[in-house]
Amino acid sequence: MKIIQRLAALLVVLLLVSFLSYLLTNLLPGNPAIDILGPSATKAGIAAVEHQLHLNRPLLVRYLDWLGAVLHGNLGRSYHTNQPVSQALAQRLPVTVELLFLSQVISLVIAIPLGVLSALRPGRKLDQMVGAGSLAFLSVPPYTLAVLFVLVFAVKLKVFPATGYVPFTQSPLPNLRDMVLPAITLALGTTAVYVRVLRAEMIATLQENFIVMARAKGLPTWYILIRHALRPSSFALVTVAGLNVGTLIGGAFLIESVFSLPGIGLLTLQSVYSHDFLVVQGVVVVVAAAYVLVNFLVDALYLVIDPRTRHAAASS
Amino acid sequence: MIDSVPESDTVSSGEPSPNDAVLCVEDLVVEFPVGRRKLHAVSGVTFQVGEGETLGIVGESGCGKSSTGRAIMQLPRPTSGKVIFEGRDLVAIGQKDLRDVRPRLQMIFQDPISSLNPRQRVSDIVGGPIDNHGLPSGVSVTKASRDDRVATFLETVGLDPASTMSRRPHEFSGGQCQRINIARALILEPRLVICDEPVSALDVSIQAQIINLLEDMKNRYGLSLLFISHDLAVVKNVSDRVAVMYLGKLVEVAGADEIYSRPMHPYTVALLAAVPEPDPDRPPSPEIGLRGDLPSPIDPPSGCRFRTRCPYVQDLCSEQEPPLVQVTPGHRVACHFPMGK
Amino acid sequence: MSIFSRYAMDHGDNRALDSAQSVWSEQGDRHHLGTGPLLVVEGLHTGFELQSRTLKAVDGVSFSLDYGKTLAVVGESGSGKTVLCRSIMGLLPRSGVRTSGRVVLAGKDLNQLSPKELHKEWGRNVSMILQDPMTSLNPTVKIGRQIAESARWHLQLDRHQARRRSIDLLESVGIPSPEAALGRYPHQLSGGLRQRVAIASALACDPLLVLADEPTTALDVTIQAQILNLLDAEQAKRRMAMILITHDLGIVAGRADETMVMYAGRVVEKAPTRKLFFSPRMPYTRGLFDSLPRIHNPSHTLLPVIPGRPPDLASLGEGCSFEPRCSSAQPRCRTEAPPLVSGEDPEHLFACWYPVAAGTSAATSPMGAVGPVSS
Ligand SMILES: Nc1ncnc2c1ncn2[C@@H]1O[C@H](COP(=O)(O)OP(=O)(O)O)[C@@H](O)[C@H]1O
Ligand SMILES: Nc1ncnc2c1ncn2[C@@H]1O[C@H](COP(=O)(O)OP(=O)(O)O)[C@@H](O)[C@H]1O
Ligand code: SF4
Ligand code: SF4
Ligand SMILES: [Mg+2]
Ligand SMILES: [Mg+2]
Repeated sequence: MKIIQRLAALLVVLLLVSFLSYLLTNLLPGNPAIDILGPSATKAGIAAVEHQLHLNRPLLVRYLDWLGAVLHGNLGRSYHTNQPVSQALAQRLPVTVELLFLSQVISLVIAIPLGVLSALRPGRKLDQMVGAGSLAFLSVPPYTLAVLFVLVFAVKLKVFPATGYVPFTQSPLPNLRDMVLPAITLALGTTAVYVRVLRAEMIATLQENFIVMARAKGLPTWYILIRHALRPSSFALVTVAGLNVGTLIGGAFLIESVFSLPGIGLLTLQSVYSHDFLVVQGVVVVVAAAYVLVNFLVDALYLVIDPRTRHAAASS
Repeated sequence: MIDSVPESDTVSSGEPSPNDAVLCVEDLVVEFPVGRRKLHAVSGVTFQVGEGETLGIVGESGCGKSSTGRAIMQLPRPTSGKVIFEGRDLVAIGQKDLRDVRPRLQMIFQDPISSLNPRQRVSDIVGGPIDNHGLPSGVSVTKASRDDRVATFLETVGLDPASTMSRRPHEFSGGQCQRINIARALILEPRLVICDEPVSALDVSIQAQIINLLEDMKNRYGLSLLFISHDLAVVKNVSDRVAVMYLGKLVEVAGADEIYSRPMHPYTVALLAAVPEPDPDRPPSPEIGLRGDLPSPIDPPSGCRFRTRCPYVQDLCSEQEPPLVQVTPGHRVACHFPMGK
Repeated sequence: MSIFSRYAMDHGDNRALDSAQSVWSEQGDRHHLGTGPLLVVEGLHTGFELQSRTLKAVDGVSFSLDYGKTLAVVGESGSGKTVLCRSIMGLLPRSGVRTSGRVVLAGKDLNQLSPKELHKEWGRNVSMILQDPMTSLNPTVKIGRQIAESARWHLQLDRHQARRRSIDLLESVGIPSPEAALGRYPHQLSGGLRQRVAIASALACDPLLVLADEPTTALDVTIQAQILNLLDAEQAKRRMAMILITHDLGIVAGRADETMVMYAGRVVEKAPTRKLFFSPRMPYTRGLFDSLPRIHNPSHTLLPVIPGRPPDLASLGEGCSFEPRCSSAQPRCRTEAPPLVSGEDPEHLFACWYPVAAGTSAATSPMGAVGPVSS
């Protein structure tokens, strides 16, 4: 029951988001027809292109047309390249997904041990260092960091390439080398958040009676932390990770443009400049769908983390 | 009811007739919705509390004692049944009439600290009922007469008014908070006080103080008490009569001494056997005869609700529900095969 | 005792013996080792450092407990029972806590052990049962794992052996259909069954000593009786010693060999349970007995009460901590704390300058009054 209700609510949200973004992109100053024809376009030429692209029809009608097509799986074609939007997205999507995935893996790999260890002895040296570090990363905007990293690691030290991209399927290692720096840059902000969230919840969990019990059984500390403390401490982490997806995708777009990674972000940027509305619209659909997907994943994760919710869900 | 015991000692084992009862509860039912199903917290409970009498209700946690107490207070209103107090059915009357009754019907709760508003001063907590309802005598209230009365009641419950009036609940221990609760409950001189586990959250050495205080207050103000507790020894010490509750139903009602010396319901027998006795010459019984736990009140057993744990269960028990019937004068039991019969 | 562990111990099966246990293996079953003391506690002090002063939660506790015996520790809440229990284990955090004194378990001074060595004692030779089975079991871990994990770790059981052992344990503590229960989570069981699971997990390595910290306080009377009977039976079967911590004198009678009464962090009386019940010497113990509501009291019995309330441990005076509430108090009581010593009977220790006369039974005359009746 609950799931169907949520699904319906999310559908409504998706519709609203797509409509609003349709509205916004169309209200942007500029005219795609002029972009396509160039500055020397004639009035008649513009009218012809507008007619061809249905740009002369009312906004709402265009939106409904577009929506109907989308529901049939057709996202339209780019005004500029005439490439199907879905094809453009399919080309760019793997880059962005890889960037996001890598950055979250890096984030968790760093955040979980740091959060757990600083919770183990709050107030001690490690905890203080981690606290100061995460505060520092939180207070610096990722864009600044990205530029800084490019300067330091790519331009000065030359450990990583500043820009460029090779698909993973073509040659995995160079691909990873290209992706590491952007992914780390993107990961820094979320890592700081994750560490703090996990630490706080972990400290509370470690006060629980069942932890006292586990210690009294003589189990080694690492086992207690991983087996007994981590799962009950990861609610906030999962929640924050879910809520963070929007910010994270925004961050990924920025990072892509700094490192010239041919992902969705770069595509969006180019499309917005050239008033290629249907592409922008396609991006919005993909991002919104991703958001919904992640939220479902988060809900599913709750069930994995806490068996009590699992049984409550099953019995209601 | 069909009570043939001489009425010379109303405050012993005899059941009060509905006429001289302060409170008559008839077929009280309390149900809570749980998803699409119903939780049967109280399923048709009937009893009376006589003038100046203490009726104890005892049973395991979750058997519906608090729900019964709150349903009498109409907090919230019961699903069905009658609660007759001062000749009026509280279930049937409106909020306004209910408000008129409240001063004479009070309740004391288990957790002494959380049942007090942490932001209020003691004088406002104890004087609150006066501010809401006025004085029981109907005399108009002045600041001085109110504070006077608050001080008197604080003193009677064993607190020093001068040093307590302006302090707040968190500055007091559990036992002291329970004294404050008692002062608040008594300040309008109620006729009936429902005490829901009033000593369960208190320390051993404080329990006896509060039990004695309640007895003292009862005698001083001629109160009737409905004393709810899971502790049979405590209930036995304070009650004239005891009602044993199991999974939303009364299974046995009798005089306190009678129920102790001649228990008839197998559940009462088991409860008595389980009471820990601080006497090395009476070693703990290795077998208390009770298996398992309380079944779910969402899906109570058919027939006798105790049958899943009863050592004497027979076929009839699952088919027919045993009614609560008088077996000897003043002694009611709900069992097809009562013991000692 | 499960068949497997009995086999392992009797035959010195290497798989089941870690280094801590090999000490015992020459003598066969370590539970039948000693007739002497299993646990010796000497001058145990535990203080919590508050802003300006130290809160003495356990203040000079000494006692010894023989193999297979039961010691009851009785006291009101805040008297230091839980802190005593955790100090014996060595489970308290290091920072902000000051501990001193000796805790010798089966010949090993626990305070001298390295953390690693101490971990080998925990769960293996000494284990714990807590008050509330709702919070002492991990809600996110299956019951099977929670029971078997200490045995897997200490006895190096493999998955299959651990499973067998869990089933044996669950059967032993009376869980219906144990195999199915292994895959359940704690919230799927009732309170009584949960406490049985907690007991099973405490018994998993056949410890020499179990510390049961108010194991039935959160349970109903009928369940309480079941659980106490179960603990009794398991203890006899496994010949383990037990410290039974409780605030309820009622559950001690007939279950503990010795009983120790705590007040404000100190032991104020200690004696074989019968003697303590029939002739309490310290006025506080006496007062506790007298103020218990008894099931055989007639209705409206006015209970003899101890006036006042337990003291704040952070601001204790010089003398006897019971002095403000004691009706036998004399000037000396305010200035000098009475030591825990024996009177004529060397087995019966009490801390009081002016003890109650010996032989005035508390158990049989519930009406013996101490102190003013009203408060
Ligand atoms: N507000 C409520 N909503 C749902 N169920 C309730 C509510 N209050 C009590 N219950 C249920 O009703 C039953 C009786 O509860 P209660 O009257 O509090 O028992 P007792 O006081 O005897 O322990 C229990 O199963 C309890 O879980
Ligand atoms: N971690 C702690 N920090 C400070 N004081 C504590 C701590 N744990 C317990 N105490 C204090 O120690 C005293 C004894 O507590 P405890 O052993 O839990 O009592 P009991 O188990 O007998 O009820 C209490 O006054 C309590 O407030
Ligand atoms: S009716 Fe049957 S099941 Fe119920 S208490 Fe009596 S004998 Fe037991
Ligand atoms: S030493 Fe004094 S104050 Fe303390 S218990 Fe004995 S008589 Fe009472
Ligand atoms: Mg209740
Ligand atoms: Mg405790």
